[in-house]
Amino acid sequence: MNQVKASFTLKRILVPLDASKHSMTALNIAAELAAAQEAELEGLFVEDINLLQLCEFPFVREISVWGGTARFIDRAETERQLRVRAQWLKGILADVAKTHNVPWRFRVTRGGVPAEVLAAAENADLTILGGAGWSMTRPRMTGSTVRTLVSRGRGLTLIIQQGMSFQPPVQVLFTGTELSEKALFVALALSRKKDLSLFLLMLVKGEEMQVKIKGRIEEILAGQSVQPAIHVIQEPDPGKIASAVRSHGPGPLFIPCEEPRLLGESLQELISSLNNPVFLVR
Amino acid sequence: MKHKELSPSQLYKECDLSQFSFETTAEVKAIKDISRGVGQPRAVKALKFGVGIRQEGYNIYALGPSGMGKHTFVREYLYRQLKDAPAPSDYCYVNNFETQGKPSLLQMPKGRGHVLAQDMEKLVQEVPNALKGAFESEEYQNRMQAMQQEFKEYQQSVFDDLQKKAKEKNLTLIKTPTGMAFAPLRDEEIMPPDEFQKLSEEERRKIEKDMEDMQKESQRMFQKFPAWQRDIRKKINELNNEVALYALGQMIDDIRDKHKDIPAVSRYLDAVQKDIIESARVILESDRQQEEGHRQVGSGFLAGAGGMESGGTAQIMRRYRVNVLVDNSRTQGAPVIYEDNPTYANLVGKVEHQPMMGALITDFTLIKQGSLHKANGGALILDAHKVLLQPGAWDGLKRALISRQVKIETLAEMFSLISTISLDPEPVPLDVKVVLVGSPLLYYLLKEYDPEFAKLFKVAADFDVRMDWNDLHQDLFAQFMAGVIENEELRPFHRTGVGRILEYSARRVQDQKKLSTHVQSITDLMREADYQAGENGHEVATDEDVQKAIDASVYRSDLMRERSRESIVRGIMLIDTEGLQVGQVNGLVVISLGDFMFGRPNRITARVRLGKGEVIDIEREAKLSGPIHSKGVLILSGFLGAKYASDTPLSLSASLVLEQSYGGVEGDSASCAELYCLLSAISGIPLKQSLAVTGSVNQHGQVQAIGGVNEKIEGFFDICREKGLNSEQGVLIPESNVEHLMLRRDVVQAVESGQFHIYPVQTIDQGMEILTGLSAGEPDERGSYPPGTINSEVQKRLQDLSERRRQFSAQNAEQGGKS
Repeated sequence: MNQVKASFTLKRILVPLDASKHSMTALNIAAELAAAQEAELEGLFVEDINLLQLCEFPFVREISVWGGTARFIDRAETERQLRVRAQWLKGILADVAKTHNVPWRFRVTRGGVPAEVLAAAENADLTILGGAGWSMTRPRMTGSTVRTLVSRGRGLTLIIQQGMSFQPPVQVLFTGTELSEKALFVALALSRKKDLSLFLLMLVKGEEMQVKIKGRIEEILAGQSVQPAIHVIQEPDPGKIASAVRSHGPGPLFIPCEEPRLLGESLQELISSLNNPVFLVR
Repeated sequence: MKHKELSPSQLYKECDLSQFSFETTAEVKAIKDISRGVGQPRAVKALKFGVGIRQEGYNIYALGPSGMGKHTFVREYLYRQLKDAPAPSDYCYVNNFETQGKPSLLQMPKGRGHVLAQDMEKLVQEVPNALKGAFESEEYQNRMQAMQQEFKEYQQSVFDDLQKKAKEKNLTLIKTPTGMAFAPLRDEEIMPPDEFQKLSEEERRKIEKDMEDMQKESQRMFQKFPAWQRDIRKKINELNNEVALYALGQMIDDIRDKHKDIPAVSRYLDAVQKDIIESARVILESDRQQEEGHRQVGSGFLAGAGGMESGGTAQIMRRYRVNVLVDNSRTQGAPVIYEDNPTYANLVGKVEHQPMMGALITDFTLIKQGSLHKANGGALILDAHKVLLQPGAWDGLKRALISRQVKIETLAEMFSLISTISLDPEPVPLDVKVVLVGSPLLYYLLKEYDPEFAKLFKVAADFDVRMDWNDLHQDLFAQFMAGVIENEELRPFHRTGVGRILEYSARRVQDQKKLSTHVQSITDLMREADYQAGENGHEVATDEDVQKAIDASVYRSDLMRERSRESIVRGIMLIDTEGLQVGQVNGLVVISLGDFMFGRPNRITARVRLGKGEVIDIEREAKLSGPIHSKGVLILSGFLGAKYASDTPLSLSASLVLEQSYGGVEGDSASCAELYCLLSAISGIPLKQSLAVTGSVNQHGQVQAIGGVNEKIEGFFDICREKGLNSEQGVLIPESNVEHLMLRRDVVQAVESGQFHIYPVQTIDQGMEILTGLSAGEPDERGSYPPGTINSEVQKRLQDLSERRRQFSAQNAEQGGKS
């Protein structure tokens, strides 16, 4: 079997910011990880092109949530408001980075929010997203940006909701593939850094495969101080997986994104049903 | 002719020691409480009346000279009268939660004020922790989050509903920086404007209509949000109130239960409870900030100077404390308070301020009591002079008595000089008996010029400076002395010592039938006699020690007297003590130096010439005479004219003067001497210079009583003794002054041995006879006097002058006609 180097380094952590409470949680988590990994923190604010284009519809009105008054949307004013918001987010990023003593930078782009975030994520070692942004979705339902990154993103992505933090245990969905081994290494590194216990959700069918996978796990963990507990799941059913994860605790879940039955809507559904931070390993 | 002179026994009343049933004062039951009334029946009755009457306006003014022991008397009397009276209420100031800046007053039974204060202090310490425990509990957090979640879910459901309806119309809801808007979709993406333009007009209109419908729908929904938010806030408030009540309800109920007999406390506790509940979040936030502050810079940083905490929970919780303004827990009976520094603030109280960061701040805990508060329900004793000297104190006192309440405000506020916002505490109802102690002069001045004084101080407790010298008072005096001896830890006094002090007391009031009630001087003499006894090695103070004390006291004060005597003996001041002189007589004057008085002779002379009938008082002309002296001269002029010139014009011009007197003279006690002198000058009959004269004369020639008779006699006696007694010297005094004589022993002894004489005189005629040795003469039916008599000579001379004047006038008229 291939030996995957048991190391995990981050150089740049990307955090798309939109002033929602979820993105603020994502920012604080990103700063913690950046400090632990000596990485750079990058904040990204996207001026939503759809919003700006909406201003060109003369019949469109902005409805105020304080009393329901309607007013004409002015493009210049909207751009000004977006600039103000960008400055404000930059200030928050600077404060958080200073608190954690990490280097940082801030970018503003204009375009479709999912597309811009997806593009920026290409150059980041880890992208951390708030679970739901400003879009009018229910809590625990993922926003459009998250859905885009879940379905089309590459590299390491962390999806986190307001109020979440890194608590024990760290959980890994292990299938025995190289990607799942990568996920295990990343989880190991995190558990060591944060001093968290480790739980493996072994997604295999058949006893023979189970023995084989267990053997591989032992190989990987040989010499490590961590000895994880193992929970076997026969079927890659999002509901069963979610149930198992919830039963172990609110700790972060590492998902290697390759199992066909755990991609697309199934993966969205799994992420939405959890109260855990979710690392997508690709 | 022989005139009556006084016998030695008439010159001095000796104390009858046989009346005493004791040998020394050690056997005498002491009167330690001066207020038992040694010789002050009028004052005692007045005090009793003033204290007993409950109506308004019957405050008391105790008047009398200083040194009477008025303060001690009044204080001890009031203590005795009020010690069994019901103790008054406690008064506390508490925060007024409804109106800031106007602290509320709590009136409570005696001793309960500090109990409530302690209970509230304990509450202040416990409430923050109790609130913290309740608001950090899981149950509260769950309920709070559930409520907050309720609104979020409602809001979310609205958004979801709008989004769903929008999707049905191929629209989507997007968030703008300050609200939200609907956007048209194409293939589940927001349609760009240029694509929209490419649509048919019908399609565009439909999209517009759909968007307009959705905008209206969303407006309608959003307009409900404020009401929902209010509803949620109300629920959150109710939850907070419920939790806060749970946290502190029992604590407050315990206090309420403890004081359930005081409805005002119950109402106050209700207000406290309500305020704590409303302020629960603020208290918790302050507590949290204070903890963070302590962590950052160490504890103690937030504690301000002087005990006024500068921030944090302590500052907020301060308003639940109780300021016990008047604590009568240790008071027995009604309070009797003496304020020895009656400034305005000391009387009515004050609100203190503390500096903090450049400003002066205050609250109800800094309200301080005044003596009116302390004395409320009892009595307040004040020195009248001191009160009047202090700015605003008299007005403030009157105001409190008239309004029957004590309002704490500064002088500047009372006089409306400033309008700075400060505390305005609820006034304290006042029920107090004020006793002013002062001089009679102040009393009469106030009564004359201050109309409010007469309304407020209806009772005058007049302290008499003297009392009758009878057996009862003699015994009381001895008991009083025994009390002084005990208090001052003096030697016991032998009965002779007691007797001597009684005699001194009578001398002090210049009356054989009276004793002095001047406590100060009696006490001083006793102390000094005790000292002398110690110097003399006596275990018991005797009359000898008392006499030494008197002599020593006199010696300490009589430097001026000695100088005066010396100037006479050395002939600097011209005084004859033998021989005869026309128009010259020894008058007698008294000089007062503080509490020491001495007499000395003063030559009086008269000159007469032809004139128009005026008697010139040179003292008055030189403006050295007071009005009473001038009046005396006018009176003798009236006598002269009426007696000798009732039918004919008085044709003399006479001048009278006190020779070598340059310091001013007042009083009419020399008018007899002046008249004798004048009659001598008119008649040419010389007067005996071995005699001195004192007495006032009226227009009928009757000799009237004067003051200082003892000092005057002694003064002349001392001069005569210095120059050499010749058995002819003496003094003429008014008969009505005989009872006032308490002369020195050496004078009495000189009279006893015939070396000196005291003549009581009732009329001018008597006096002239003694001074001249001639008969005065009685008028016949024609008004003529027998030849050779004094009156005859006076009459003859005046007639002669009258005739000369007539001739002179006629001569003048003739000469005037010829020219």
